[in-house]
Amino acid sequence: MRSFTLSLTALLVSATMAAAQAPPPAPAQDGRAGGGPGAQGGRTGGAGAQGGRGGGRGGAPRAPAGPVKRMPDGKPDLTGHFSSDAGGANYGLEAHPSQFATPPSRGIVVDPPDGRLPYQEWARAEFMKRWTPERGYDDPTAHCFVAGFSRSLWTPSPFQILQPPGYVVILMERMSWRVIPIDATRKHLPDDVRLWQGDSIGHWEGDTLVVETANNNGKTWMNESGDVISYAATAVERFTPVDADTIDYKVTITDPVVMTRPYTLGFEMRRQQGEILEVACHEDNQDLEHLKHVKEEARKNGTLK
Amino acid sequence: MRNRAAYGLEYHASSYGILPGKSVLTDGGKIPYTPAALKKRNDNFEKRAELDPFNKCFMPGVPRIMYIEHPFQIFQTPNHVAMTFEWSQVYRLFYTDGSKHQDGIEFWMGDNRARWEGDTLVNEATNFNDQTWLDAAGNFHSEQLKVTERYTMVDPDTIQYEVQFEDPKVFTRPWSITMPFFRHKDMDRLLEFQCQAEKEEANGEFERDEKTWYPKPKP
Repeated sequence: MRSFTLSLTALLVSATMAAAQAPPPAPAQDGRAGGGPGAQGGRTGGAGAQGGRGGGRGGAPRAPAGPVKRMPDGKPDLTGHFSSDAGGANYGLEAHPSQFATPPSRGIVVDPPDGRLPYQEWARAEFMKRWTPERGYDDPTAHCFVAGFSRSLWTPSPFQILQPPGYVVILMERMSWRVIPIDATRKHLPDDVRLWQGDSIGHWEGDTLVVETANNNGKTWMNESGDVISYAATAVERFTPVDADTIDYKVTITDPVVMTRPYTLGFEMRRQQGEILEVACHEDNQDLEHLKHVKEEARKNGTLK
Repeated sequence: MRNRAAYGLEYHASSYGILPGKSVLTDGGKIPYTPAALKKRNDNFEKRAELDPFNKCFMPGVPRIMYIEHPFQIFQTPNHVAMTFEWSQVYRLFYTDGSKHQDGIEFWMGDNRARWEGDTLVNEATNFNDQTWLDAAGNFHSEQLKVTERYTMVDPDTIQYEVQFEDPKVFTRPWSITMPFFRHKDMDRLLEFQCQAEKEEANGEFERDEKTWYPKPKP
């Protein structure tokens, strides 16, 4: 961008809130915006109480939203403060009841149609090993590392989408970001440069923002239960606005190290009231020592999977 | 950034972990600490290896994040100015929509409300905690810190950055720093520096998963 003054002439684009959504969350009781990973029961909670963000399962009925807003160039306006209605995906991509001390999930696997991930045998076994209290320490988010690609979008904490010229930028309340250039001439990073959030390049197909991501480092888990993703994963995400307050999100992931075929996850992102805050996870991490102790005890007892 | 503000805002000689540098204070002088605060700053300096929150990979705060020698990218929209940083994927989000500061919530990176004064972006950052330092030399602030930043393009590739500090608990009067930010013309995207993750990988607290992590180069 050549000059700060460019935006002075731009149109004002305001973010309209849905009337019937849940109110913004109360700040943490001690007045800090943050809250460590242990503050909300799960390890990847937002700054507010879980479930207090609206748009979740069983939330208040929502007022009908207006039509999709447009940017001055005619592209859909995806900007604003959103939260994913991912139905507990942070505790399992497949539908499951509450078990192994994790909350239930309604499941976000839309392909295969039966909702079961096409895991290779070893990877399904690895997932079940991870889904134990003694492996909780191995979840990168227990250490307050970034949730990575594309888990950052379904941790139960909201995000702000910006659409500056040439980019879509997603700022996660749980302190990480994705910068997506809308640039057909852009090439991915050299193959040996690997990132937690991967390297993303976007383009528009009609009203759908299509984002291709490669260069993942394979260090993250897909959720607290330990759904498996590897460095080999590449992905195509589709952000399609449904109305002024809703974005339909689909991500198709091809991960030949882990899966027998590509799979697709899907859920809606819903506009939230108020502003995103700041989750100071690592700075206030009260959970990790406990999780480490549980793992060490299991290792000592020979029960570590 | 091409100065040594990260190591010390005042004119300083080299010492362990501290590269030497010229004062970035606007008046070229010293930070106007109260006597008690100066004593604490000097104590911070002595114990900097142990006490510096940056060494714990805690969010650097404002304005330290701006001059820690990790690049950042600036984005502008009608209602926001956003900055994404290489350092641990921290970001700053300034509201330019006339909204007011949050009430009663503290932030490591402050609560940022900005406006345009002619061609200068003026950001007021408040609602800080007292946990961050201003540099590696132990310069510090309290939760009463108010930072007023001024960003002015002086040519197409240079932003002159000025910061005024107010904190009646720690400083006897407002004071300011100034420095240029230079555009990186040879970078088309930020990469990642993950402070805590890389530290824990190095010290064994976060173990490599041979099945899922990007393979190590073959010997």
